[in-house]
Amino acid sequence: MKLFIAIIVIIVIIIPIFFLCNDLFYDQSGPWLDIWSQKVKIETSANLIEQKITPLNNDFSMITIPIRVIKKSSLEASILNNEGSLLASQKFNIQTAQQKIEWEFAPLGGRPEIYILRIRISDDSANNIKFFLVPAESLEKQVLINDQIVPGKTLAYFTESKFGSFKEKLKALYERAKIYKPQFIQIMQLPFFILYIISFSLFIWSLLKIIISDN
Amino acid sequence: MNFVFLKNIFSTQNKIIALLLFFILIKGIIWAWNIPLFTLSDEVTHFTYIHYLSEHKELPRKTDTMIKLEKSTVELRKVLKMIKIDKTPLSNAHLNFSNATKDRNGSNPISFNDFLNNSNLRAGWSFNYPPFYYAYASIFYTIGKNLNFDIIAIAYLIRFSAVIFLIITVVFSYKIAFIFSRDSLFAIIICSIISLMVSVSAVFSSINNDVALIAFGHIVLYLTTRIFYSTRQKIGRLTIFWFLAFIPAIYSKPQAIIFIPLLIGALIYNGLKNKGLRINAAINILFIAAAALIAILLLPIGFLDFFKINLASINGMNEITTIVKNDFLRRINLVFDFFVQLGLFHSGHPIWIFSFLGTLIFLSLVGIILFFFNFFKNNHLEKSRALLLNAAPIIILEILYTFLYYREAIINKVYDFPGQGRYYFIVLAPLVIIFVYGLQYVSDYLKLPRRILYFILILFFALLNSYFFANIILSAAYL
Repeated sequence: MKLFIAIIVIIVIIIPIFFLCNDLFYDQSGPWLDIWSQKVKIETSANLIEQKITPLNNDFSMITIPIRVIKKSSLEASILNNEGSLLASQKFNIQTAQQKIEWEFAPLGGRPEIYILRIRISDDSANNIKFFLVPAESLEKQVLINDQIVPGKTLAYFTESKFGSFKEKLKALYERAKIYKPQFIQIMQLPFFILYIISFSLFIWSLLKIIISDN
Repeated sequence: MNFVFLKNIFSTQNKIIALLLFFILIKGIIWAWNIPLFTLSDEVTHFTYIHYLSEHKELPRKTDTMIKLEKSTVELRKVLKMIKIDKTPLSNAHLNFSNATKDRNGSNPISFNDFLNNSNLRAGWSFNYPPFYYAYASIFYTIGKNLNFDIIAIAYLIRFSAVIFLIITVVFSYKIAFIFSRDSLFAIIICSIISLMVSVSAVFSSINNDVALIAFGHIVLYLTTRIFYSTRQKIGRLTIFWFLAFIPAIYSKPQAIIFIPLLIGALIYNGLKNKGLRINAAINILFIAAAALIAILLLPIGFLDFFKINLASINGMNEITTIVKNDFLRRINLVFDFFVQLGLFHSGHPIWIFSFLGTLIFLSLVGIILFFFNFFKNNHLEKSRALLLNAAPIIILEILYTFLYYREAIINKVYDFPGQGRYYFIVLAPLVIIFVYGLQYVSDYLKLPRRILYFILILFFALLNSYFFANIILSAAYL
């Protein structure tokens, strides 16, 4: 009996909450998330890459850049505001099997709409790391590779923001789940969610009971 | 007084089925309400069809369809613009909440050209589909409109209406599994897995003609099974019921054509078994002619052109290698997709899911191979027959899809169609039955009690159900 209760509580309540608590990042945004763009990616190597980026909100605190590594290398990534002032910078040692650079930094705060991502790679390492370029939304959007502007293409990346706490995350989830919903859903959402947890628990309970008692 | 009837009603088995159906109902509502509108597979085009049928009271196939549609879809296109659905669904279905607005009147509609041609929307491509599902959904559209619901509320109402098809599918899956196994626990396990499968929940939360096809397809599968085993006296009545279920299935989606050869096989088998082949042959000819005629009439014009493939357009050995290689990769992907596909949501699921699921699928395959390997030793003819009866619709569907894949690959150089697990839900119950039976055979072989296997299966699928809802659907959609 106690084992059953434990199993049901774990499955219905603990697992979802555990994974929700697990990370506080939200609002992924960027060209790499477009699955069709991923299919037409092209590889490039460079000493210097500069890309304008526009994260969704002012809690911007992580950027992910997919890469293909040929040999162990190192690089330096920086984020600047639109006026060119340095906001964050970090050196990365890249391992052979690595498929992406995940760079977390303190939330940048404020709200500049546009940042500049700058990646510098030494001459020795330039050919050892391949970055991906994907089609941009419009021809005006571009990426700077070494000293050359590549119009209509953008570096493959995506940005993420970070909540201050789990409570903040739950609150945002609850509020957002009501947006673009008719009023009857907004009102019924919570009662039905409780009903869902109860019916799910009862169903699993009975099912496990019948399995155990069957000969 | 005789309380046997009441005792039967309140039997453990019925109680658990009642609980299961209640759970499905609540889960259907929760999923349909919480997945952002139009982010599930092809919802825009199916909704546009329903909208057109309800507003113009005709199928969207006349020459003036586009003119009428341009005028009548302004409200819908405003909603699509507002929720930026032309940009979001092919990413990870994440809506842009930082600029969320509720001011529908203030927004300009998406242009009609974008509405039809934007690759994320393509609102008109479903217009050649047969109308059964759209007619059903238009009832809810009309009810919503009479209650002064706006487009968003109507669309959610239609989504919710799909739960009835899920209930039908689960009930008939139970019946098919029970005939297969003569074991109510096995049948309960099958329909529990189906109702816990996240890919199934995603399909039945969407606005999509697949839901009607799957539900009526399962009634047809059940009746085919009954015909296969029935006595001669019941054949006529069962075949009439079969036909009554087949009509809404084929009027929902042309894939239902696979049931025609299945019926032929069942009738021939039954005829041979009951020595009544001659009577059945007459019924065969009548029904098959009628069914084939309906199927052909329902398919888009140019049906015969569909089978014309110019093999000369293949560019040498390299292209043949590409086509065959992609066919193989597509099938590997499909095996997992069948269990965990979530419409347009990203499928970068954790490795523990794929590892465990992959192990189960592999063991099931081993079990089925072992079963037929041992067939000659043990001579378990009855079970082989039941297994083959379940495999038959899968094989027929696979032949159809293999043809479609090579057709698309050769003509249009498209190498991923049919690349989604949901396309196989028309034979959902038979596939899950074979999957569980294969595992059961291995567990029997290893002398592992079945209850342990069932326990593991239910825990795994329940876990997936919880994990996917909170951590894939809600996270990808709202966070």
